[in-house]
Amino acid sequence: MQPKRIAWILTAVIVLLAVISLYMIFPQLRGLSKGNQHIARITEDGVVLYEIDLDAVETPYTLRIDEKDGEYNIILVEPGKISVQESNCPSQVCVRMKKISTGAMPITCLPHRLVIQIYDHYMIQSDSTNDHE
Amino acid sequence: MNNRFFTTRRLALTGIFAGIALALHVVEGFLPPVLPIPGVKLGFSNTITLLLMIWGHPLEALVVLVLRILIGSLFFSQATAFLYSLAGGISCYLVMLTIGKLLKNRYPILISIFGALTHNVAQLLVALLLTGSPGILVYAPVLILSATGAGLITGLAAQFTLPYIRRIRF
Repeated sequence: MQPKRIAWILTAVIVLLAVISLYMIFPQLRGLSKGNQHIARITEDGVVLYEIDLDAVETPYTLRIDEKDGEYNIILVEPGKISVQESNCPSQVCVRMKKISTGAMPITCLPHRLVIQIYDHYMIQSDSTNDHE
Repeated sequence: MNNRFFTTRRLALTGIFAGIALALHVVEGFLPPVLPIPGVKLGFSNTITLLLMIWGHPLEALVVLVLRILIGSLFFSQATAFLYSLAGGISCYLVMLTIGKLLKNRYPILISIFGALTHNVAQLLVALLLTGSPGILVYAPVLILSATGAGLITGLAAQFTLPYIRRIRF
Protein backbone atom coordinates (compact mmCIF):
# COMPACT_ATOMS: atom_id res chain seq x y z
CA MET A 1 0.00 0.00 0.00
CA GLN A 2 1.07 3.55 -0.68
CA PRO A 3 2.47 5.39 2.35
CA LYS A 4 0.11 8.27 1.63
CA ARG A 5 -2.89 5.99 1.84
CA ILE A 6 -1.68 4.44 5.08
CA ALA A 7 -1.12 7.93 6.46
CA TRP A 8 -4.76 8.80 5.78
CA ILE A 9 -5.95 5.63 7.49
CA LEU A 10 -3.72 6.32 10.51
CA THR A 11 -4.99 9.90 10.72
CA ALA A 12 -8.54 8.60 10.69
CA VAL A 13 -7.68 6.19 13.52
CA ILE A 14 -6.28 9.06 15.61
CA VAL A 15 -9.32 11.26 15.01
CA LEU A 16 -11.62 8.38 15.86
CA LEU A 17 -9.75 7.65 19.12
CA ALA A 18 -9.85 11.32 20.08
CA VAL A 19 -13.59 11.57 19.41
CA ILE A 20 -14.32 8.42 21.42
CA SER A 21 -12.18 9.76 24.29
CA LEU A 22 -13.98 13.11 24.30
CA TYR A 23 -17.30 11.31 24.23
CA MET A 24 -16.26 9.31 27.27
CA ILE A 25 -14.86 12.28 29.18
CA PHE A 26 -17.90 14.53 28.96
CA PRO A 27 -20.33 12.50 31.06
CA GLN A 28 -17.50 12.00 33.54
CA LEU A 29 -17.01 15.71 33.96
CA ARG A 30 -20.57 16.82 34.45
CA GLY A 31 -23.51 15.48 36.30
CA LEU A 32 -21.81 12.74 38.23
CA SER A 33 -21.96 14.61 41.55
CA LYS A 34 -25.70 14.10 41.82
CA GLY A 35 -25.50 10.49 42.92
CA ASN A 36 -27.15 9.66 46.23
CA GLN A 37 -24.12 8.18 47.86
CA HIS A 38 -20.47 9.03 47.89
CA ILE A 39 -18.40 6.14 49.09
CA ALA A 40 -14.66 6.70 49.01
CA ARG A 41 -12.71 3.52 48.63
CA ILE A 42 -9.02 3.58 49.44
CA THR A 43 -7.05 0.69 48.00
CA GLU A 44 -3.42 -0.26 48.14
CA ASP A 45 -2.18 -2.87 45.68
CA GLY A 46 -5.82 -3.54 44.87
CA VAL A 47 -6.63 -4.40 48.50
CA VAL A 48 -9.40 -2.27 49.99
CA LEU A 49 -8.10 -0.55 53.13
CA TYR A 50 -10.97 1.81 53.93
CA GLU A 51 -14.44 2.50 52.72
CA ILE A 52 -15.75 5.84 53.91
CA ASP A 53 -19.23 7.21 53.41
CA LEU A 54 -18.36 10.82 52.70
CA ASP A 55 -21.92 12.03 53.24
CA ALA A 56 -21.83 10.77 56.82
CA VAL A 57 -18.65 12.70 57.68
CA GLU A 58 -19.39 15.66 59.93
CA THR A 59 -16.05 16.92 61.10
CA PRO A 60 -12.94 16.73 58.95
CA TYR A 61 -10.26 14.27 60.04
CA THR A 62 -7.05 12.82 58.68
CA LEU A 63 -6.02 9.25 58.08
CA ARG A 64 -2.43 8.16 57.98
CA ILE A 65 -1.64 5.21 55.76
CA ASP A 66 1.77 3.65 56.16
CA GLU A 67 3.00 1.56 53.29
CA LYS A 68 6.19 -0.43 53.22
CA ASP A 69 9.68 1.12 53.45
CA GLY A 70 8.53 4.19 55.35
CA GLU A 71 6.24 5.33 52.55
CA TYR A 72 3.16 7.15 53.80
CA ASN A 73 0.16 9.13 52.66
CA ILE A 74 -1.91 11.38 54.89
CA ILE A 75 -5.47 11.55 53.70
CA LEU A 76 -7.84 14.37 54.58
CA VAL A 77 -11.48 13.34 54.88
CA GLU A 78 -14.03 16.16 54.85
CA PRO A 79 -17.81 16.20 54.48
CA GLY A 80 -18.38 15.10 50.88
CA LYS A 81 -14.72 15.50 49.90
CA ILE A 82 -11.48 13.61 50.14
CA SER A 83 -7.91 14.51 49.30
CA VAL A 84 -4.31 13.57 49.94
CA GLN A 85 -2.86 16.13 52.31
CA GLU A 86 0.68 14.88 52.42
CA SER A 87 2.75 12.14 50.88
CA ASN A 88 6.42 11.33 50.75
CA CYS A 89 6.24 10.10 47.17
CA PRO A 90 8.59 11.71 44.65
CA SER A 91 6.02 12.89 42.11
CA GLN A 92 3.48 14.55 44.47
CA VAL A 93 0.83 14.10 41.80
CA CYS A 94 -1.56 12.74 44.41
CA VAL A 95 -1.24 15.90 46.54
CA ARG A 96 -1.64 18.18 43.52
CA MET A 97 -4.86 16.49 42.47
CA LYS A 98 -6.60 18.48 45.22
CA LYS A 99 -9.97 17.50 46.64
CA ILE A 100 -12.29 15.15 44.83
CA SER A 101 -16.00 14.87 45.47
CA THR A 102 -17.14 12.80 42.49
CA GLY A 103 -16.10 9.60 40.80
CA ALA A 104 -14.89 11.48 37.71
CA MET A 105 -11.18 11.27 38.54
CA PRO A 106 -9.76 8.95 41.15
CA ILE A 107 -6.71 10.12 43.07
CA THR A 108 -3.79 7.84 42.38
CA CYS A 109 -0.45 7.72 44.07
CA LEU A 110 1.30 5.41 41.64
CA PRO A 111 4.63 5.27 43.49
CA HIS A 112 2.80 3.96 46.56
CA ARG A 113 0.25 1.97 44.54
CA LEU A 114 -2.55 3.76 46.34
CA VAL A 115 -5.88 4.59 44.71
CA ILE A 116 -8.70 6.66 46.18
CA GLN A 117 -11.88 6.37 44.20
CA ILE A 118 -15.32 7.72 44.95
CA TYR A 119 -18.17 5.46 44.01
CA ASP A 120 -21.44 7.24 43.66
CA HIS A 121 -24.82 5.92 42.76
CA TYR A 122 -24.18 6.13 39.04
CA MET A 123 -20.90 4.23 39.36
CA ILE A 124 -22.29 1.46 41.50
CA GLN A 125 -25.02 0.87 38.95
CA SER A 126 -22.72 0.69 35.99
CA ASP A 127 -20.25 -1.38 37.96
CA SER A 128 -22.54 -4.36 37.72
CA THR A 129 -22.44 -4.37 33.93
CA ASN A 130 -18.90 -3.21 33.43
CA ASP A 131 -16.01 -3.40 35.81
CA HIS A 132 -14.78 0.10 35.13
CA GLU A 133 -16.19 3.46 34.08
CA MET B 1 26.92 -5.95 18.19
CA ASN B 2 29.60 -6.11 15.58
CA ASN B 3 32.34 -3.57 15.33
CA ARG B 4 31.46 -2.55 11.84
CA PHE B 5 28.18 -1.02 12.88
CA PHE B 6 29.53 1.03 15.76
CA THR B 7 32.29 2.96 14.06
CA THR B 8 34.03 5.57 16.18
CA ARG B 9 32.00 8.31 14.59
CA ARG B 10 28.74 6.52 15.17
CA LEU B 11 29.67 5.73 18.76
CA ALA B 12 30.44 9.36 19.45
CA LEU B 13 27.21 10.57 17.85
CA THR B 14 25.20 7.99 19.79
CA GLY B 15 26.78 9.22 23.00
CA ILE B 16 25.97 12.83 22.20
CA PHE B 17 22.36 11.99 21.43
CA ALA B 18 22.04 9.91 24.59
CA GLY B 19 23.23 12.99 26.46
CA ILE B 20 20.70 15.24 24.70
CA ALA B 21 17.86 12.79 25.38
CA LEU B 22 18.85 12.56 29.04
CA ALA B 23 19.04 16.34 29.39
CA LEU B 24 15.58 16.76 27.84
CA HIS B 25 14.24 14.05 30.12
CA VAL B 26 15.70 15.57 33.27
CA VAL B 27 14.69 19.15 32.44
CA GLU B 28 11.17 17.99 31.67
CA GLY B 29 11.06 16.30 35.06
CA PHE B 30 11.74 19.63 36.74
CA LEU B 31 8.87 21.39 34.99
CA PRO B 32 5.54 21.42 36.82
CA PRO B 33 3.12 18.90 35.32
CA VAL B 34 0.66 20.24 32.76
CA LEU B 35 -2.31 18.47 34.33
CA PRO B 36 -2.33 16.91 37.78
CA ILE B 37 -3.10 13.49 36.38
CA PRO B 38 -0.55 10.71 36.51
CA GLY B 39 0.97 9.94 33.12
CA VAL B 40 0.16 13.25 31.45
CA LYS B 41 3.43 14.64 30.16
CA LEU B 42 5.12 15.85 27.03
CA GLY B 43 7.72 13.12 26.63
CA PHE B 44 10.13 15.39 24.85
CA SER B 45 13.01 12.95 24.76
CA ASN B 46 10.92 10.89 22.37
CA THR B 47 11.85 13.45 19.71
CA ILE B 48 15.40 12.15 19.93
CA THR B 49 14.29 8.52 19.55
CA LEU B 50 12.24 9.49 16.51
CA LEU B 51 15.01 11.57 14.93
CA LEU B 52 17.57 8.80 15.32
CA MET B 53 15.14 6.23 13.97
CA ILE B 54 14.50 8.25 10.82
CA TRP B 55 17.85 9.87 10.24
CA GLY B 56 20.20 7.41 11.89
CA HIS B 57 19.57 3.75 12.43
CA PRO B 58 16.87 2.04 14.56
CA LEU B 59 19.54 0.23 16.56
CA GLU B 60 21.04 3.54 17.63
CA ALA B 61 17.63 4.83 18.60
CA LEU B 62 17.17 1.75 20.78
CA VAL B 63 20.58 2.15 22.44
CA VAL B 64 19.88 5.82 23.20
CA LEU B 65 16.39 5.00 24.52
CA VAL B 66 17.57 2.27 26.88
CA LEU B 67 20.52 4.37 28.09
CA ARG B 68 18.22 7.31 28.75
CA ILE B 69 15.74 5.22 30.72
CA LEU B 70 18.47 3.49 32.74
CA ILE B 71 20.40 6.62 33.64
CA GLY B 72 17.25 8.70 33.99
CA SER B 73 15.75 6.33 36.55
CA LEU B 74 19.04 6.13 38.43
CA PHE B 75 18.96 9.89 38.86
CA PHE B 76 15.41 10.34 39.90
CA SER B 77 13.33 7.56 41.03
CA GLN B 78 12.64 4.17 42.36
CA ALA B 79 12.15 0.78 40.82
CA THR B 80 8.49 1.28 39.95
CA ALA B 81 9.22 4.37 37.87
CA PHE B 82 11.85 2.41 35.99
CA LEU B 83 9.29 -0.27 35.16
CA TYR B 84 6.85 2.33 33.85
CA SER B 85 9.49 4.02 31.73
CA LEU B 86 10.79 0.80 30.30
CA ALA B 87 7.36 -0.60 29.43
CA GLY B 88 6.30 2.70 27.86
CA GLY B 89 9.60 3.30 26.09
CA ILE B 90 10.10 -0.13 24.55
CA SER B 91 6.52 -0.54 23.34
CA CYS B 92 6.57 2.99 21.95
CA TYR B 93 9.82 2.20 20.14
CA LEU B 94 8.42 -0.98 18.58
CA VAL B 95 5.24 0.72 17.36
CA MET B 96 7.13 3.73 15.97
CA LEU B 97 9.49 1.36 14.16
CA THR B 98 6.60 -0.59 12.60
CA ILE B 99 4.63 2.49 11.60
CA GLY B 100 7.79 4.18 10.36
CA LYS B 101 8.42 1.18 8.06
CA LEU B 102 4.84 1.29 6.77
CA LEU B 103 5.06 5.02 6.08
CA LYS B 104 8.62 4.78 4.72
CA ASN B 105 9.64 7.22 7.47
CA ARG B 106 7.57 10.04 6.07
CA TYR B 107 5.01 11.86 8.24
CA PRO B 108 7.02 11.96 11.49
CA ILE B 109 4.04 13.54 13.25
CA LEU B 110 1.90 10.46 12.69
CA ILE B 111 4.70 8.15 13.83
CA SER B 112 5.15 10.25 16.93
CA ILE B 113 1.44 10.34 17.83
CA PHE B 114 1.19 6.56 17.60
CA GLY B 115 4.33 6.22 19.69
CA ALA B 116 2.87 8.48 22.37
CA LEU B 117 -0.44 6.61 22.33
CA THR B 118 1.33 3.28 22.76
CA HIS B 119 3.50 4.72 25.51
CA ASN B 120 0.51 5.86 27.55
CA VAL B 121 -1.52 2.71 26.98
CA ALA B 122 1.44 0.54 28.03
CA GLN B 123 1.97 2.59 31.17
CA LEU B 124 -1.70 2.40 32.05
CA LEU B 125 -1.55 -1.38 31.69
CA VAL B 126 1.51 -1.55 33.96
CA ALA B 127 -0.29 0.68 36.47
CA LEU B 128 -3.26 -1.65 36.27
CA LEU B 129 -1.01 -4.62 37.01
CA LEU B 130 0.78 -2.88 39.89
CA THR B 131 -2.20 -1.29 41.62
CA GLY B 132 -4.66 -4.05 40.78
CA SER B 133 -7.53 -1.58 40.71
CA PRO B 134 -9.53 -1.41 37.48
CA GLY B 135 -10.81 2.00 38.65
CA ILE B 136 -7.76 3.69 37.17
CA LEU B 137 -8.99 2.80 33.68
CA VAL B 138 -11.11 5.95 33.88
CA TYR B 139 -7.88 7.77 33.10
CA ALA B 140 -7.77 6.11 29.67
CA PRO B 141 -9.64 8.80 27.67
CA VAL B 142 -7.62 11.62 29.24
CA LEU B 143 -4.40 9.73 28.58
CA ILE B 144 -5.37 9.09 24.96
CA LEU B 145 -6.13 12.78 24.38
CA SER B 146 -2.98 13.93 26.12
CA ALA B 147 -0.91 11.43 24.13
CA THR B 148 -2.36 12.78 20.90
CA GLY B 149 -1.39 16.32 21.92
CA ALA B 150 2.05 15.37 23.20
CA GLY B 151 2.75 13.21 20.13
CA LEU B 152 1.73 16.09 17.87
CA ILE B 153 4.13 18.50 19.58
CA THR B 154 7.11 16.15 19.73
CA GLY B 155 6.39 15.04 16.15
CA LEU B 156 6.37 18.64 14.95
CA ALA B 157 9.64 19.24 16.78
CA ALA B 158 11.15 16.24 14.99
CA GLN B 159 9.83 17.38 11.62
CA PHE B 160 11.33 20.85 12.02
CA THR B 161 14.66 19.46 13.17
CA LEU B 162 15.06 16.80 10.46
CA PRO B 163 16.15 19.08 7.56
CA TYR B 164 18.91 20.57 9.70
CA ILE B 165 20.09 17.36 11.29
CA ARG B 166 20.30 15.69 7.88
CA ARG B 167 23.22 17.96 7.08
CA ILE B 168 25.27 15.95 9.55
CA ARG B 169 26.75 12.92 7.89
CA PHE B 170 26.34 9.78 9.92
